Amino acid sequence: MNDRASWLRYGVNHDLQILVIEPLFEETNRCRKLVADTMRALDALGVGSRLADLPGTGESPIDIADVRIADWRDAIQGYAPALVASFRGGALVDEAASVGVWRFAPETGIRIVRDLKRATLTSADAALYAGHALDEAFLAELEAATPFPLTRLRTVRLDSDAGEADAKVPGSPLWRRAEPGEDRELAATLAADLADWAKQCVGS
Amino acid sequence: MTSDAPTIENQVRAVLVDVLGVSRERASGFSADTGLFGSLPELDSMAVASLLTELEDRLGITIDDDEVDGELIETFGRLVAFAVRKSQG
Repeated sequence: MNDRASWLRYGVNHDLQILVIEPLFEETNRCRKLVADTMRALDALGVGSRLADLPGTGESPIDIADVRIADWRDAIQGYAPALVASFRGGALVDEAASVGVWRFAPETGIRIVRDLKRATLTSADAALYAGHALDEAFLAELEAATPFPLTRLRTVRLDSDAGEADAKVPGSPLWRRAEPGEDRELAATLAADLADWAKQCVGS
Repeated sequence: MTSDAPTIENQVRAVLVDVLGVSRERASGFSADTGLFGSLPELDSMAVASLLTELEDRLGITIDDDEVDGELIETFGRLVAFAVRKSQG
């Protein structure tokens, strides 16, 4: 057992292992099923994966108000990952991979912060950002963060997304959906792309 | 109304399908009077943020936060009218 409390792992016995970084804040819940379905599909394709723990999120005992972006980057570094797959805002802290990074619909910090601030426009409690008691300094840090440019990088986006990508795939932007949803076909497509890429990365 | 208005209305419908997770059939039944914010329980504060961002991305517009209040998203008709107005610059 590793001393880090990664609560979701699939295919621990496969040679190829990928560290997965989920979307941030509200998008975590909205995409939880998509990420889990993708990890399960990866297992079926002979690739193992584990979910990264970011301090102040999920099961973490640390208060999000005490967290800085550097803490998240340190946490990822702590896994010493060869291959990382990041979803949405997870791309802001994924650069620790020693071999390669695969990104799905990467998002910039400024747009993530704008979404959080917008959620306060029609909210009863303006002090909470989409239910998160976030520190202003943290928001400023997040606002300035952009996905780190990497040489060994593959970017996949939805075909409705105008952003640059190595591949565009059909599917729904589940991170926008009010109630957490699922898209199994998208998960299968992502897992197939990710498994091919991971095998190429270590084979060459 | 310009010739773009029906297209924009359909784009607003498509965004609501993605944001609210409602079926295309249900969204195609939305009329100008259909209530959104305050009427659809799925449309909470965070969903409003998603709705605005997705509208910006699809329509290539920029929405100032000062322009946003409950009234703007009260009905489908008001939201479409706003989107059409923004699209015309």
